Amino acid sequence: MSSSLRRFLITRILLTIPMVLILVTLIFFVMRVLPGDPIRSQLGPRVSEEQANVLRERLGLNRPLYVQYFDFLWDMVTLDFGTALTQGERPIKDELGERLPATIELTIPAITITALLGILSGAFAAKNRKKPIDYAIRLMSIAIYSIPIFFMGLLFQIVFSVRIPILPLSGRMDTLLLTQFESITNFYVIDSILTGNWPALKSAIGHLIMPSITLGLALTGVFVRLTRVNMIEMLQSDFITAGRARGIPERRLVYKHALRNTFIPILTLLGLQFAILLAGAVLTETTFSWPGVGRYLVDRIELRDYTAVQATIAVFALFVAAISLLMDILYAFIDPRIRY
Amino acid sequence: MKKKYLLLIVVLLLSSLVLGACQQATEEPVAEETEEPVVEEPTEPEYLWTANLRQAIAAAIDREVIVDRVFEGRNVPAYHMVPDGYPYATQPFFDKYGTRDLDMAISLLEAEGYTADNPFEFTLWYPPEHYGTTTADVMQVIKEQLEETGLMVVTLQSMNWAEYVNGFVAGDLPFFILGWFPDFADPENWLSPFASCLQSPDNGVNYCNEEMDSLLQAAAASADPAERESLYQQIGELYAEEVPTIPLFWEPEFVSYRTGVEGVVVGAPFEFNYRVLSFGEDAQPASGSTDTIIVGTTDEVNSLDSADAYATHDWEIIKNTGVALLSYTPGTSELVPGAAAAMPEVSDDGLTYTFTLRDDLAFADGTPVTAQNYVDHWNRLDTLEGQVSGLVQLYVDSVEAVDELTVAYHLNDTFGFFPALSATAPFVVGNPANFTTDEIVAFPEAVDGIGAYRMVSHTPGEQMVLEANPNYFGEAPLIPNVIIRYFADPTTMSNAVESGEIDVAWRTLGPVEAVRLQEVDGVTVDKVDAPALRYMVFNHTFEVRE
Amino acid sequence: MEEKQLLAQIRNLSVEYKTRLGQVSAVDGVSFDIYKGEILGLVGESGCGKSTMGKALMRMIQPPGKITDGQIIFQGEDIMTYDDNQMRDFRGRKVSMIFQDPMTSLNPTQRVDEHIIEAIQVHESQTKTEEALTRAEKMIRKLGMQRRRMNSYPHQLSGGMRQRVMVGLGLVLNADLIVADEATTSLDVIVEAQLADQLKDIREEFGVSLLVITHNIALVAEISDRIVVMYAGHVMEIADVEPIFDNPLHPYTRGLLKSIPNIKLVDTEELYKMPGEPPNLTHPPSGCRFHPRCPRAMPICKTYEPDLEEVSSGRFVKCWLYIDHPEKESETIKVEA
Repeated sequence: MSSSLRRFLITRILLTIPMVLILVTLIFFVMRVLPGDPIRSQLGPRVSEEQANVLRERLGLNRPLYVQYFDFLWDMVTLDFGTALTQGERPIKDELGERLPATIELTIPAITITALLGILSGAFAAKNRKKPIDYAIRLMSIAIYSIPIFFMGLLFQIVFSVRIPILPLSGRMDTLLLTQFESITNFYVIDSILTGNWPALKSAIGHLIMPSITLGLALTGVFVRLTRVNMIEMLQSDFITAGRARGIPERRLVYKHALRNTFIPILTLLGLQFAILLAGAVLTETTFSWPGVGRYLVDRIELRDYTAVQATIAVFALFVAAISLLMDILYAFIDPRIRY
Repeated sequence: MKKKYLLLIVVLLLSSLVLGACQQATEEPVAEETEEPVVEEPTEPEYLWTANLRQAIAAAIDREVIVDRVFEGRNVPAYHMVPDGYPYATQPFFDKYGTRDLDMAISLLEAEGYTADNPFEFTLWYPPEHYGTTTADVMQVIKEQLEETGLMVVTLQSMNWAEYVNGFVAGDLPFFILGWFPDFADPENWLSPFASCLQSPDNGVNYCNEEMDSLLQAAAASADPAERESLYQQIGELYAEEVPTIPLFWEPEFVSYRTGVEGVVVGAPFEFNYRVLSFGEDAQPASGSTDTIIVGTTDEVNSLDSADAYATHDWEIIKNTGVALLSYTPGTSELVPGAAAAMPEVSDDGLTYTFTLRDDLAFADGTPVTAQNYVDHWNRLDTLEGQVSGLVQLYVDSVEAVDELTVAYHLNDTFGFFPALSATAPFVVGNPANFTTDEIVAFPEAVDGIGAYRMVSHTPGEQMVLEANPNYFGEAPLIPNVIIRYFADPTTMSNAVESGEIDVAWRTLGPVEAVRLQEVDGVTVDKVDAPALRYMVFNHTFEVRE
Repeated sequence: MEEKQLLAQIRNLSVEYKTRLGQVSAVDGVSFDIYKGEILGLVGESGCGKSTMGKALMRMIQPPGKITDGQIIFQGEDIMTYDDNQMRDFRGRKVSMIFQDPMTSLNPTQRVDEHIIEAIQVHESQTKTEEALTRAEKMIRKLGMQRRRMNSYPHQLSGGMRQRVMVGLGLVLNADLIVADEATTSLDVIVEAQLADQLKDIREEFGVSLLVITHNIALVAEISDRIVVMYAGHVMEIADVEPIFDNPLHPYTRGLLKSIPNIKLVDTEELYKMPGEPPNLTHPPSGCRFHPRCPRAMPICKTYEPDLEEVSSGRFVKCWLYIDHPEKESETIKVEA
């Protein structure tokens, strides 16, 4: 790796720190400004104001704001993440440690499906521009994009779990298998391989099918359109014509030469969509009762659980930054013009 | 380039410091428990809600219509705050206003000086999502009914739950809807929280009336059934007269289960006992074997520590893995001894209730249970300040271990309903091995209590596994293993019971799914008359604004 | 002159484009020959159809364009009858093309050696990568580039080097004809001169024919053996290079040559501009397509289209001035050999 690239990457990594800092500071203050507090939101009128104050005191909510802020920053730096304010004040690290892998395990196959399906259909449509199949693909991509995720999810559930029971309905694993399941990383697929638990592996993969397809399909439309547009332009470029003049077969021109050059904008989109997927997994997680971090975040926001929300969003921000960095590194690999 | 960012960080930190300092400066110190001298108010504040107005509104509301139009007759109109079927329950609102008395409402409003040209205008508040999306429809019907008098103009306003709670606790809302779910099965818990001087501000009612207060206290402090009956009769009448709040209707809960599952009973105290569930002959268990039953729910575990827990699902788990001092025969409101060997002895002054524990009590891990465990449990509750501590501290002053198997509760007053209170989850003793003395353990690794089941594992958001407790003093449960499956969505849960992935779906199915499942083969839907009340609250200290 | 052997014969070729404004007749009934080892210059204004002609030779016309008529007989076979596979084999191996902008004509994400190896392996699937690499190296050296350039990406090379890579790609499969479509237009004069020399060299060394398509008359004067002049989709004149410069026959050719800026122009003399503009090819002029702008136009030119006739040995012209017609009023000019 050239030294300029190395410098570039180091700078990017360092820039992540202020970015995350600014973001969590914003969240910190926004949460506090929002009306409502965690005690009341959770317990409603059930406790007296006096009792509520006692509880607030215990949770440290009455401390001056800057004390709470620095406490929070310190928690982040030491990777402690503090404890939640609601729901039994569980250490957020534990909660995230369970839920984040769940969401990631869901989004990775989803984004793979999105990318593969979207990019290949887009390239195919571009190659067969203005033919019926092109129109069909474009129509399908808009149709799928317009269908709300939860509706698609429910539809799949009803068809493939209730009417024709071939796929599991919800959750990450079969109920009975889960009671015996040993979980180390909380990535069920990885864990079942690590513990040699083959029925669990089968169950984990089976449970991933519908939710990841649902989530993956939802964003395919965007990729189809983007790929198609870029590919059409790319297919008219000179080096494709030059390649054709050398006798390179059409399919190779499309899927190897043109597609590879189209990757820069596609990668950008992929990085952005991954971030969206993480947060947008909420609807899928709700429909399929997937114990992920999307749902967790939404619930906590409603309950005004400051510490949980802050910590989760901070982790999200780190994730997005990491993905973004990964994209940049991938650019360097794909486009030699960036490397040298 | 990096200098710019450093500067930005410094600016941010400085501004947060400044903000924090400002915050501190404007924050009122937390209210200390000092005696405040009574200050004579120079002028009498003018409160909006006169008695006539309250009665007028109570008279103008027609619950039958609400229940029919919004809920298709599924809900039960409420003519008293206390549920039907409770001891000492009456129907005072029906006695005074019938199902509706529009004429009375009109004449009361006219007596207040309102005319068609000068109607009574006010705002009605509600949370759009917390009690379901039907809340907005209910509000609309009420608005129409009130405006039918021709002398009222009602504006509907909604606010999301977190703000809403803040709002009424701060006293900003004049007239709003709330829901109530009982802590324990006694009329005391349905009346004092709204009508007593001490507790009504917590619900934003801010009602204080000497006569009501003394009646409530007398009824709470009495242990004589006949006396209590007469007192609650009077309280009911006064309630309909004073109208601190207006009860609207009871919202039923639905439970759904596959054909062949038996023993699904939920009585008035709203307890779901897993130990009486069984599989009949034509049952097809979701787990594939008759020794494991799978129950689905959309609730979530909030805390399994009985010194802290204050949510319905938590209490359900606690009461299935443990036993309170007294308990209810499943499906009924019959109080019987639980962990105690017999009903408690009441001291002559009515302030001390003494329970003799069973001699065969042991935690699931074999440790024997003694009275000291109960004392430790109380100390934990008292010092750790968990969510439910306030409820118990309201009534209990101290707990004493008289001897190894005898525990005495010293109360703050002669509360006659204490037996009902002692049947609630905070009175389930926790195993010190699961729940350490120095902090609340909301998510223990396991729960080895004295109940029919022990909790073996819990993956939040996914499932909880319960196994039969070998050291349970009662009859072993009919189904030894219970797996609770957590769902995020009632539709998914109802799909699961339809496809046979779970055996029982309980809380919260919702009326839409319940109605749908009624048409499905192989699935039974039962309506449970849940004591979930919806009621309208007058903020009695809401001042007239120009 | 040596015995000239025919390499390719284009007969009556027509290419049309379907546009929203109508059918554009970009190339209309064009016929000419290409001989082995010759450098043939194809000149004309922008839009005259010469680039289309070049692409048509390799059947690289993309929709909405289409070859509507004619034959392209290459080494005795009419490639219009070839199927897709045969065409793919044909392209690159028999005929190859060098393009105008070498930067955009090379795949930016492929190294030089990858380009060449791919070209080889696509046509000779059994050739191992090592062998192809060796051949690529040899080609690079022959073109005067250093071997280390093999690992470079296009953006790391200068314009001239890129063009040489293009030439190398054209030669690596020993094609018989190389079509250079405006190959020097984007190069500066010095590099252009280098490339011109190089083209001459490879004709000497490999005996390959070159079709140099350009609007740069000076270039064709420098390197071509013969010249084909096109206007508005028609071939107007074909001749050897010297005769056409000494004595241009067609009025268009004459105008074209007069338009070349001449350093000997005196201050007071203005640059010659041909009056009028190239015609709209959706509705081409009737008769001779040049007649609206022709200083020597006759009434007959508007009515009848002249054929491309050989008026003297190896000289073809498409103009009523040199061809008889019963309705013609003026005298037909005779051309000496």
